[in-house]
Amino acid sequence: MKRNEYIGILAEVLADMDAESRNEILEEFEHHFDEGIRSGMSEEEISEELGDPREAAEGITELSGKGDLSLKNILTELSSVFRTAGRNRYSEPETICGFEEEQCGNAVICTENASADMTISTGDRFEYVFRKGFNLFGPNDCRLNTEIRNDTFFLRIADGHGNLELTIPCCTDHLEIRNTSGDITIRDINLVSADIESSSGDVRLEQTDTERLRIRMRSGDITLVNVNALRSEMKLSSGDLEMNCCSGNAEIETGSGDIDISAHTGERIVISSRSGDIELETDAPEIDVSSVSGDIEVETPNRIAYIEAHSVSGDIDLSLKDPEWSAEFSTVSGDLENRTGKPERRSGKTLRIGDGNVNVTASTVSGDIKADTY
Amino acid sequence: MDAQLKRGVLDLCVLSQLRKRDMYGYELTETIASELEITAGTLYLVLKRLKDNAYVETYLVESSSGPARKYYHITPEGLRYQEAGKKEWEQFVERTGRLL
Repeated sequence: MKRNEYIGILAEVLADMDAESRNEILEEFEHHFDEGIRSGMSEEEISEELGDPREAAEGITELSGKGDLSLKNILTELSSVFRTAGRNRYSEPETICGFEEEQCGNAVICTENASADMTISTGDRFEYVFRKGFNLFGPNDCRLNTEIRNDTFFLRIADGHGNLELTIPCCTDHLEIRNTSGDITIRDINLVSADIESSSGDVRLEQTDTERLRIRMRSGDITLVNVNALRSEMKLSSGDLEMNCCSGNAEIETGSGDIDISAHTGERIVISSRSGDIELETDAPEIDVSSVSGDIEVETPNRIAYIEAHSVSGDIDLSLKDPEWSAEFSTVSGDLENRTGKPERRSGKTLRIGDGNVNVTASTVSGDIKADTY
Repeated sequence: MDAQLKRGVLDLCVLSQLRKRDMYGYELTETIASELEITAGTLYLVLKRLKDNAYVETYLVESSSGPARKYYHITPEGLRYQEAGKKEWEQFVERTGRLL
């Protein structure tokens, strides 16, 4: 993230604070950028080091609140503070479990007072390797409990930090994951539905087929590569979303993270973002994209049923191949540009392109709108 | 992690560094972030809170190579708070050490 963007988001998040305190904090962050640049770092590296501006700001309330000191799991809590205690150090695998008979059905993984890194892939049966994380004094008390109820395999990770490698049989219908933090990687699986919730940590899906996909994240990025989901619904707060070579209808909602979608195929895609930028390359004929302050870029090689693109202060850039479309662009203070060679009509801050029924609509308050062919 | 605990540990670490010498924000965050799983951004908020509680005070020093640097200095209240915190911490480590 660039310096201006970082400071902008932080200022926005601190808006409720009194002006003097806010300025004092912003000034310190500005100084940090100055010092970092002086020592040869890039603005992006410095932003990374400073951490997510939204989370940094959440720290204000978290770190100024009152509460009783909880001795429960105190060592586990401490272990997450000390780098040397190592979030990425794990004990030897201590539980390996396989089922003799081929079990099918559903898999549910949840964490209670715990966080875990997880890798899930297809195998012959439900089989897992679990490793405890380390705290200051050695392996922590993290436990994995498993249970089979009806046709569902439950894995419950409790009290600490651990690492789970799970294989599920290819006949598994439903996969559900509830994690607090830790990275989740899912690859080479075939499901009816997948439902993932995580508050921090990244989620990555590769070579995965599912009818329904639902992901909810507070921070942390989502990466999807070769994911085929008839219907997907993704909600992120501050992380980025990257989709490459994915198919299916998608509904995406983000806060401050950027969205980068390339080589997408499907019927319909709906995206809304608050301050992140959106780059979308799709052959879906139905496209609906909106952002408050982020820029929007849409490229589509296919027939257009409709495109809706709206932003308050971001720019909108449309790159269209289909010759059969007509557009209406409007803005309050931005510029409108037609580079397609199609006939246009202008009246005030409205631009009409083409002679047919309007199926491409774009509007902004202060951003520019541009259409191009390729 | 437990907010109260995190707060206590961070306060203690920051104040203990400042006990050695006055430091400006950047060098302080670099020192702390090299040991603790915490972002520099969070540390500036810790510093702000320590200042609001009058455990630290700040002053500006002109720098030849760029803008002026804001140095943090521990106050007498900060010293007392640091000493009490350090004692509690050492007791905690000693006692748990005996049980582990």
